Amino acid sequence: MIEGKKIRKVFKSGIFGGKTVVAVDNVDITVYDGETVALVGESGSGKSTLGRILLMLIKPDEGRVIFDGVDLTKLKGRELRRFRTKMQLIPQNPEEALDPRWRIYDSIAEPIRIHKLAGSRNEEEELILELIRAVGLKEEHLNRYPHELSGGELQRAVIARALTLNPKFIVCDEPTSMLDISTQASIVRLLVEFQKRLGISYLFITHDLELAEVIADRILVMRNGKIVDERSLH
Amino acid sequence: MLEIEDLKVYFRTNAGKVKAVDGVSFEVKRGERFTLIGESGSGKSVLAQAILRLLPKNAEVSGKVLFDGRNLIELGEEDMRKIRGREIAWIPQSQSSLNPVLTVGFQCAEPVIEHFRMDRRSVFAKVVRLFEFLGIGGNRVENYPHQFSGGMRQRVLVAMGISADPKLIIADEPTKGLDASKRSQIVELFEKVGDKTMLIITHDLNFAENLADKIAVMYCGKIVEVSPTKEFFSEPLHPYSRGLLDSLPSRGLKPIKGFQPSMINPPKGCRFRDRCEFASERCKSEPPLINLNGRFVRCWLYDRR
Ligand SMILES: Nc1ncnc2c1ncn2[C@@H]1O[C@H](COP(=O)(O)OP(=O)(O)O)[C@@H](O)[C@H]1O
Ligand SMILES: Nc1ncnc2c1ncn2[C@@H]1O[C@H](COP(=O)(O)OP(=O)(O)O)[C@@H](O)[C@H]1O
Ligand code: SF4
Ligand SMILES: [Mg+2]
Ligand SMILES: [Mg+2]
Repeated sequence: MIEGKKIRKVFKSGIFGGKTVVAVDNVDITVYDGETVALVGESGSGKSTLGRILLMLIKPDEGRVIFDGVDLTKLKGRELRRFRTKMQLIPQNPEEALDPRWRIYDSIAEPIRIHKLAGSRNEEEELILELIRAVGLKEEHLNRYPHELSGGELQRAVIARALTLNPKFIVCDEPTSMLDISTQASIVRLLVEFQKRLGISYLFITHDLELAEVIADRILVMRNGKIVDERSLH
Repeated sequence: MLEIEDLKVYFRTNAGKVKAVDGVSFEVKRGERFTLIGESGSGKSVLAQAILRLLPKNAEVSGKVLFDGRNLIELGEEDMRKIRGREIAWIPQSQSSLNPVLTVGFQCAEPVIEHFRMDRRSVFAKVVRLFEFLGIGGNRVENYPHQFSGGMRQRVLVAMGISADPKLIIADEPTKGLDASKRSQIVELFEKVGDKTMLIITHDLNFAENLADKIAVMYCGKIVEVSPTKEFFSEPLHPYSRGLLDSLPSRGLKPIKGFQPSMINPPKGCRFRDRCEFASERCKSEPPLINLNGRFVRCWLYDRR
């Protein structure tokens, strides 16, 4: 279970930091284990900022992020990194998650290497093959660079990478908004299948209310940095 | 108004010939809003660029593009420049086609000044009226592109396209990347433009349903169906069209199995064969484009011979 309590984030912009934007304004949010919560709202309403704060990729100005009872805002360094492996981001643009200069294989292998999950090269390769088959990619894709894959294939590679560390919580930030509807359907199906199999919980950010209604257990509506509406669906 | 006959665009690449548009024929009638849908990579943008003759040098083009009777494929660059912007407006996919160092008002006035030799004053007055009309605000003509949000920039592109009062508007993915409320504003915007002839490329089916008179579906370089909008959404003919509609969240979010085939070595016969649940032996040869009471479909299921 992940909780955000009284979260606030203000950005300063303009040359002298003269303008301020309250991106997230005193928000309380909870995502229970195995649950899919859709976060909808117009662009600029603060969805991405809130999602990244829950992942501790952005530091909130105020408030706390609590993961399975542990206050992450109080942790530092190695301790925080240990929790980071349990939380992943699938961004709108795959370029944000995959280094354009690396082959797909190395991008997926990176977290495995950092966290020493494989005892040998062979073991690493087996792990990666299992992962990419699970997301519907083929071996031939592993040797390519990101610009040599289609949008749907890239997003599958990003999902494979996000799954390497067995996460418990994933923020999906408009993962299909740049894809075709038929590709969108296959990616969303894939995410739902993994949730059933692995018990992951999702914060699914989208501006497509119809999509939110099909996949979510609960919908939160965000406007001007605040959560202004909440609906249960199932 | 616009008749495309057996249009082919092949790109020479190191890996082989990419058959991006492969024998496409259709007609857009005066006053019609004709929409081209299909997965990315199916050849939609290349088709539009072929009509406007905006393709790079490695493209081999054959077939006919008849615009009011003239074959654009055969026109010289000088004649083509007169048609672009004045008779046919091009609203490109990328908002980066706005020049960052020129005011948006100037960029909208430029085609008018160039094509009509009107004096600058009256052209600018016209642009201000156009900005008012499209909901951009007449006072914003002096602004630069970066001072606008994504949705507003899209409006500016539309303003730029229609400022010279063209006969035909071709727009490439005008709602891509915009959120739902902005998308419905773009529908309204195109409604406002009125009874102009339009060729609109999109894979946003809600947008197409709201705006189009006719829908053409492109798959792997070929048009596989052309239907009036209502009929298309209530009773799509081609198995690929059905697959597309079923993948909408509101219709079950069911993906089409498999992947798009290669455009260098497309499957022989029907290109949708590997993914089609109705495929049979005869689908190994190319299906003809069949006329069903004015609707068109390229699929053996409808062959009654
Ligand atoms: N790094 C940043 N610096 C300055 N302003 C930012 C930054 N990130 C986001 N913002 C601003 O915060 C607000 C919320 O942005 P965001 O969380 O991206 O919204 P959404 O994801 O809902 O579109 C916007 O006004 C945006 O311009
Ligand atoms: N300049 C080019 N050289 C080689 N191939 C190209 C070129 N431009 C486009 N293509 C290829 O042509 C096909 C159709 O592309 P495009 O018309 O942009 O698709 P769509 O607009 O339907 O998404 C794609 O396979 C694309 O990779
Ligand atoms: S021609 Fe055959 S394979 Fe192609 S869409 Fe029709 S039934 Fe399916
Ligand atoms: Mg965002
Ligand atoms: Mg395109």
